[in-house]
Amino acid sequence: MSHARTTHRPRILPAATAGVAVTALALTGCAGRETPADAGEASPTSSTMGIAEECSPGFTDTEVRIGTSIPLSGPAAAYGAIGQTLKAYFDDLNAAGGLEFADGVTRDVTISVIDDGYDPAKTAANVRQLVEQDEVFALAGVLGTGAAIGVAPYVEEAGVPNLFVGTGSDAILALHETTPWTTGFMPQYGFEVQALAAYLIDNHPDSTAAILYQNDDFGESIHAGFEAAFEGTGIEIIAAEPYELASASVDSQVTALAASDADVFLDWAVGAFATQSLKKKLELGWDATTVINAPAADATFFLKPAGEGAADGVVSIAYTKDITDPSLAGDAGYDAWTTFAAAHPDEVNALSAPAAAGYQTAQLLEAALQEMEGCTREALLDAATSFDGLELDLAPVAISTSPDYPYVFSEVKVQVFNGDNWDVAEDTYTAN
Amino acid sequence: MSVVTPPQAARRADRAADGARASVAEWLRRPRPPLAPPRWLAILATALGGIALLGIPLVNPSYINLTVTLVMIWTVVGLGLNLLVGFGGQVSLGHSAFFAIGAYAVAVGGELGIPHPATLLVAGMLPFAVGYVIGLPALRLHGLQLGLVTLALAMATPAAIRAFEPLTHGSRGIAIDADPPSWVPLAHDQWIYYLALAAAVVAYLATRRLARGRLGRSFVAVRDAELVAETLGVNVWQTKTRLFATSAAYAGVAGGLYAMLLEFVGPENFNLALSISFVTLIVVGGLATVPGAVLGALFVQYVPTFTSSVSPAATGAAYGVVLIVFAFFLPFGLVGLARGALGKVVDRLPGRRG
Repeated sequence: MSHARTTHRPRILPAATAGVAVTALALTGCAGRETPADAGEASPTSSTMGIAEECSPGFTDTEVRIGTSIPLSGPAAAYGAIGQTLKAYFDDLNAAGGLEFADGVTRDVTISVIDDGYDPAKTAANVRQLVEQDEVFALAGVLGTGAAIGVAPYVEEAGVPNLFVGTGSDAILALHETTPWTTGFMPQYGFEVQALAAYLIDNHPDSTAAILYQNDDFGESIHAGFEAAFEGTGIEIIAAEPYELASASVDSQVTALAASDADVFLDWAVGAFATQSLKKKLELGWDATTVINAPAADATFFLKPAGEGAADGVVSIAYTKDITDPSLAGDAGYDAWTTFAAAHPDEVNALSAPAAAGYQTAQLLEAALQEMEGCTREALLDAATSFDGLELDLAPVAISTSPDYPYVFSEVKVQVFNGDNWDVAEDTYTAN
Repeated sequence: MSVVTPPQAARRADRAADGARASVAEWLRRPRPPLAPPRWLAILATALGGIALLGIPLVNPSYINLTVTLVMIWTVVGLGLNLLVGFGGQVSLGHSAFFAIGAYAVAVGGELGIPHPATLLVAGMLPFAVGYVIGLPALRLHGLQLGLVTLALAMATPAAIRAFEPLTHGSRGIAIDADPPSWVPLAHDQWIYYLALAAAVVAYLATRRLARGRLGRSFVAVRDAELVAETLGVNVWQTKTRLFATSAAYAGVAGGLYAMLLEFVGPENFNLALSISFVTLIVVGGLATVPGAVLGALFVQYVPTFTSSVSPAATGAAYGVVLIVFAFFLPFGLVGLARGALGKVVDRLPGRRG
């Protein structure tokens, strides 16, 4: 592949000359853009400046466009159901004539779903494409902490609400201190710890606890959260074992924790590790009340595979009704969900937790669109952060949001697994 | 694989072989010399290309600039990796690690108060040093063993990022404010575009010189006949280590630009899939060719997006089929295809050459 070295060298000079010339032209002539965001973008102040309120892009008399970027392919493709369900829900609404807004006009709500394969670079490109090319009014149901924080400077600059992001990371709260445009769908992880700690203090006073957690800052924050919540109460954490996400099993950690013979097992293992930990606990005959993190509290995928009896009595927070429990038939919300899922057998699996999350996201968006006053993006953000006792088909608690707390759920219940289904406990816990 | 005949002579031989009615598969698999355009065409193409590249960010919305910027970032990685794999014959599945080091150098550097384009220097130097140190023992290994060591590097990257939590903020990641300095009248996406363009042009020209110069020849010599190279006075071990470190530096600079572009880095950005896509890039583009990195970068950026827009369920399968087709029928990648398709036309153009 080697040949005479002198062949192409002179090419550099003309190229460089042309480059310099064009750069100079560019910088003097049409440098930058008129505004940081694209032309036609409503800046956060434009609605207060004009007398007649001007609508934000993506909002017309006949249509409102909403976009989402979600993994439809790749390792996280299962979560694509959120986007597909969201789209199916609004397609139904549009087919039935559209959604009636506060001004009395009925509009179609068009949902654009783009695949990002859970790659943050693709999410960034998709979000820009949705805002600039498709001119969406708002984003809803984007998945992932990294995705949400990565696009935060952009959505702030463009003034586009990024609603109901699929995360409960405490990072959204930190982000909220500088920019209000992003809200999280899942209960805040820190709030989950507080609610479960309060439940344990009420129901298992004067007990000992052992915790299994991920060996990173997420796991550490959970561990520290429980330590702080139990401070000065009768509950004491007597054993703690971290595990590596890259490890093959958590058996040795569970064995070490079982040796402490604690009364409560705080199981913050994720995914398949949760199943493993429950299996091992049963094998060892460790008789402790297991408290499990919300992402792992999926009966079909993580609890039942651990084997008969392994998950009995497992406690977790409840922010979605148990869609795997057929005895809920008769509950109006549950029936609406199963009817909806049955009408979309190809897109929506009635037993899939991501699909249920998509359904909840769709209903939240529907409510925010109906309640918003005016036609600006700020108005939508205002509506989404001022729900007052909103009833959703699949939420066990009514939804109340505030501009100070960037998560949908400020109240959760606690549920106990009975081997087949979840039993929801009476008490409601509120984020403070 | 040294082609000593001048390109046009080689092309004549190629044409003679064509006369024998070779099958399409054979035609595709034939090695070919680089295109030899007349000088006026080379100048014209470079000038037009340069004007187009400089003009793109001024007339396009930011989502287009973002993907073009990513192509240039992948190009820089590809140039570096091709130097190592294509010219040096060393396998690396671990370039996502160096890419991550570069990205975190920019993120952490920014937090420490280093102004932003300057952080890119750190993003190049740090992976160079790390690559050198890792290369010292690792390059005593050959083929598969080296592949495994670098694979381990790629797999350990997300865990390592989480482990260095005080510096990297673990799984929370780091938000980066990479807006242009106040004297630059450009939007963020345009600014990063020009930085990436500058990096890609410098990397391209540097690689071309490296590949053709004394160093490049010693790389190829070490790849093809280590013993002969050593006899001729090439310090094999040092050549390899420097090559590895240089290649790591390319990946680092690209990683730094990636961080500035996305304005956020987290451990999940730098998984094994990223390393695999780097290897895909150089194989599809064309091993041991400099322009191959550009074509490969275009491929890894746009083809997955295209296949997923056709059918999200078939993204993986369609991508896989394309890779198999390349491995079987286009061992010289897109560059080989371009040379085969354009070679005759370009040779017939009148004008002074070289």
